[in-house]
Amino acid sequence: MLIYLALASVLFVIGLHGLFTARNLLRRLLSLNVLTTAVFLLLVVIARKATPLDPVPHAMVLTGIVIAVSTTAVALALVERIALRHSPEPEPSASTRPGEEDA
Amino acid sequence: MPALPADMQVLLLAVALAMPWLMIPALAIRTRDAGHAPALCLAALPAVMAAAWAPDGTLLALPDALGGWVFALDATGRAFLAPAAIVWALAAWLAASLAPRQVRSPAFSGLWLLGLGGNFAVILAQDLLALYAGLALMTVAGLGLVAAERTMQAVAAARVYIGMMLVAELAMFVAVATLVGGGFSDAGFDTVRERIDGPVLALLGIAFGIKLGALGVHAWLPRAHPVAPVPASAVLSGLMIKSGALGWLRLVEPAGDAGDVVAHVLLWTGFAASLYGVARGLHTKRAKTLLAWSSVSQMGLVTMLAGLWILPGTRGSGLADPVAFAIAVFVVHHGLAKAALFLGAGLLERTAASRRSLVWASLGLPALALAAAPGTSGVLAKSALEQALAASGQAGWIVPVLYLSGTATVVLMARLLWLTRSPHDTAASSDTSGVRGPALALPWVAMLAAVLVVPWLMLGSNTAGPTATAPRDHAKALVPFVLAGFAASLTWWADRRVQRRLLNARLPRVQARAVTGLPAPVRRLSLHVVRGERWLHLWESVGLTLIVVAAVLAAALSLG
Amino acid sequence: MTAGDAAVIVLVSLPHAAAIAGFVWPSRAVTVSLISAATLMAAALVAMHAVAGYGAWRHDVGGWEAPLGIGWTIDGVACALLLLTAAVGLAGSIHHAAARVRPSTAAHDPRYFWPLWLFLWGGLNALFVSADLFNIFVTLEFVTVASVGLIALSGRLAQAAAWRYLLATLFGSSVYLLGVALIYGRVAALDLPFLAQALPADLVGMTAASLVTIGLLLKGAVFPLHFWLPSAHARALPPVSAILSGVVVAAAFYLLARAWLGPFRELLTPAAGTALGLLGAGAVLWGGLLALLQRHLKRMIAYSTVSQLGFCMLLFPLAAAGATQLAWTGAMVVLLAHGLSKAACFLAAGVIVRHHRSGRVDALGGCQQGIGLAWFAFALAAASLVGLPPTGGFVGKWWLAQAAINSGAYPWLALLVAGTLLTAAYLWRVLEAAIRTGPPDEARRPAAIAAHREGAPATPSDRGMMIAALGLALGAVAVGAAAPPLAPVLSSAIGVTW
Repeated sequence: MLIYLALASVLFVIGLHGLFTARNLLRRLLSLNVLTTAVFLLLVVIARKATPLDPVPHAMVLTGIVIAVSTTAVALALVERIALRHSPEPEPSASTRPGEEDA
Repeated sequence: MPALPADMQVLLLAVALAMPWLMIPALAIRTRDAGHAPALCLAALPAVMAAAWAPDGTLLALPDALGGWVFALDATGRAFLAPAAIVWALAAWLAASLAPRQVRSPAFSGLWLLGLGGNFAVILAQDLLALYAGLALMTVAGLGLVAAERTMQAVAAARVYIGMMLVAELAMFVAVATLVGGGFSDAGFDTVRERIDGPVLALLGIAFGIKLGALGVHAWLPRAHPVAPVPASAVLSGLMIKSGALGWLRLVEPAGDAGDVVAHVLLWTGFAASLYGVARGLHTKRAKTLLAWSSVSQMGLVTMLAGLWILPGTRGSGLADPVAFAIAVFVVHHGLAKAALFLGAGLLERTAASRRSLVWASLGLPALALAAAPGTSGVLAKSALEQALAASGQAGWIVPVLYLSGTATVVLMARLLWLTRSPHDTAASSDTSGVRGPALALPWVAMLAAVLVVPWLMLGSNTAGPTATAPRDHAKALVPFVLAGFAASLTWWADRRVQRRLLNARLPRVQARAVTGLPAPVRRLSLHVVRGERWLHLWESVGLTLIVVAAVLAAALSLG
Repeated sequence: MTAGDAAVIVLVSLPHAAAIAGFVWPSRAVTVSLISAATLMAAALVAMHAVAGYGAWRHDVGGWEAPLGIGWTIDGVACALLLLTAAVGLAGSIHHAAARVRPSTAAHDPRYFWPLWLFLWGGLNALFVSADLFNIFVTLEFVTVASVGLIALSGRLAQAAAWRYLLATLFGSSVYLLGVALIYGRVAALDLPFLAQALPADLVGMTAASLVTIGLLLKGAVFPLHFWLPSAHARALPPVSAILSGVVVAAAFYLLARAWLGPFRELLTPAAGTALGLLGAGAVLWGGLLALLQRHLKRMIAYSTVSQLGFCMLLFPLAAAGATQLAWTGAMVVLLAHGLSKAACFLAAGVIVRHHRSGRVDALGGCQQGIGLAWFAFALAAASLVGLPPTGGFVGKWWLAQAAINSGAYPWLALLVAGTLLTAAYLWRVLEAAIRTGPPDEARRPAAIAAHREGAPATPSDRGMMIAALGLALGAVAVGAAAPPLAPVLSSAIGVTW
């Protein structure tokens, strides 16, 4: 049990680190998925802890996976749009002054 | 005039209050010649009738509005309502000719009605919340009236106006929120007055001082009043600035324990303002600016009375109190005279050369009233002021010194007539095409009649209050004229160059300027802010910020 | 089934059905959407009427009860926010229908607007009535996906902003879900009414509360986590900006308020309240300062959202100091008035920017030539944002001030005053530009703008958009009149501990 908890924490930290240090858009998205997986793992551990086995966290994980798949699809579609525009740097505010961007 | 039935009195009061709001839909209609002016004039008429015929104590309760608003007419309120109603009505009438472009604009006319509605609500309000809401409406409307010309100067003046008014509003907001506990109930003046303590009094002083244009916080007044269209200047300078005095009368306990220090500060500030306003007014070449500075000077006298209000002394209630009576007299006298001067000065610019001298001579009438010539309402005001000083035990040193300020006002009014003696701007005076004689003559004569008659009618024979004027007062009123004449002839004799130098001396000019750039430290600060914001937008710093926020939350939670 | 139940079912299901219909028959999308928008407004009014008449109630969808079923609680606050959503949604629908974005001029496929718009609306409605922390997560994701889609179809520059928003808000959702998982592990329940005051102040409880809070702070763009908001809100289409700034951000605050005064009530110590209040203070001052420094109208309005939401955050320190009831009604009225007036600002700005062909504040000289109504709407909305009596903004700030005075928390009162000054300063900048007959730097003005400044008279399309904006601005003023009598309704909130 403890090892799964530790694994969930490690996955969470990996996801967190990757999300804010990766420069590649896909890597950021994948890091976010890793992070979400960590949360799902925690939920499964919580379900296992209860006696008898608690079905509610399982239902949450299943719903969560469906949501994660959908949001990832949306994110991928967006990444594709941005990549197709040949925009080398997707962060406008990092390169221009906040006050000077055009509306 | 037989007394009206009681329910008719209440109805009259309700119509007077509601008429400005009822007229807003009427702005959809626009007459070809006069724009919205008839509607604007009509909006103030029921208030004239109410001021004339509704007796003291007419009460209108609206229990369902926020915490139950109560409006009533009392002697103090009538002193504010009568000049207000007359000036709003006549200024609107004259606006058809004096500001033809503005009264065609629904925005200007709407703001006019907003100011009108707010002003009447302030005057008749019997609880703090209605007073506060009315003041806020008036402030917003005033902003629109000041900026109505839409020139650079008007916008810059409006900027100063709204900046200072906002400070006043916020001071008022905090004071009102402190005084009115809980929700929106329990805001009657009597209840609220008990709860005023030192800090709240200071906040109210700031708020009302700014509204009144008291010395030190008067910066908006000489900028804002001259740039507005003429009828708007008249209501701004004649009526709106008085709301500060009304608030003081309604809220601050007379002869309370606010302390001598505050009272004396007000007394001295007011006296200084009465001289300073004249000094500045003498150094301007524009009639409207001169009149605005004269308002600063006159409001100085009102500030003195506000100081007397909180000094201990022998007092009556209502207008039997010499200080309240003096304030009421000043409100009626100055409201009518100053509005007439603004309207007359505007009228002169639009009068054909053939009739100009006639109008110019008639302008002398309100000028004489303001200068307190014998027989005018100025004498009433002056003697009321002296009696108020005497009743508060302050007569000793101030009364002789008041002759100084009286003389100064005489000189200022002479200067006004001198400035307006010949067409100032030929281009403006040629634009008289749309002005028809009777359309101007009738309201102008009515205005002059009001200046002459109304103060005496209302307060000249005040049986309840302190006895008004004796013939001796009229004789004493000649002294400033003699002094002024003496001073004038002395300078004339001495050297015309001295005179010219005096009049053209370069005092720091009050002129509305556009802000061209920000001072360097502010610019540096804003640069840092923008840089900080750019850093916050970096994706990498989001991670750091998150950690900081998490740490703050964790620390706070574990502390508790 | 009562009328209230029926109304709530309509509120949640109709937008989704209409969205699908609009997607399948794009040619009918506008008609379908406008009819649904009007119906949704009526349904929200019916629900509000039911709550005001009979008090709050609970509805278990399909008769399935918690924990596996989906529970809805319909109380006064939820209904007020449903009504806000309906008002902004209806006005936004009219605005977009009147704008008639043609496929040739749009940077996107305009067919997608109406389905996404309705999905967002449906997601928001579901969010406001959800009674369960996990269902809230689901509806939050729903709102996220629809919002991101709406931002992304507003143009190329907007896609980059949409990406940042998506990453930030997905991360926020994950953190929120982690918090929810911990709460479930600790107390084995997710139902908000059941959870009232339930979370103990131990390590797990604190961690869970911090995680939920951080997730919602990210979604609510509370300083210093507002990095995604200005670009996303400034670059979207006007109705999209309106609903994002007016309602979506407000939804995050709504959840934050329900969480801290519900499950986390035991954790809301003065220290915790002060920490949240300091974030709000940062938002008010920093957001206001940046709004003052912006050169573009829509960016200024977007930063104003950051600043105004900060006022709502004062709920936490004031509730921790004991003035819960006053602070709650105050914060909620500020939230509602801000939602309406901010949406009105964005809709009016849409017309103004279109008319002047420039979004630069200093190029907006003159409000003549037919768009006076848009400026009027903007000015009314500004009055409510500043908090002039008798607008909604005033009543909200009044109650917040009362809460601060009653609990002796004068620093928060000072913040309220300072924030109001900043608000007035940045809004005055815009209004001043409108009043002035000509821009100050006549010479430096690009010729292209000069040519267009005179502008064309208002078209029927402009008029429709301006009326939508004006309706919302009048709504913000009307909140001021409606709020005092409706205060008891606003403080009917299931699961909130006073």
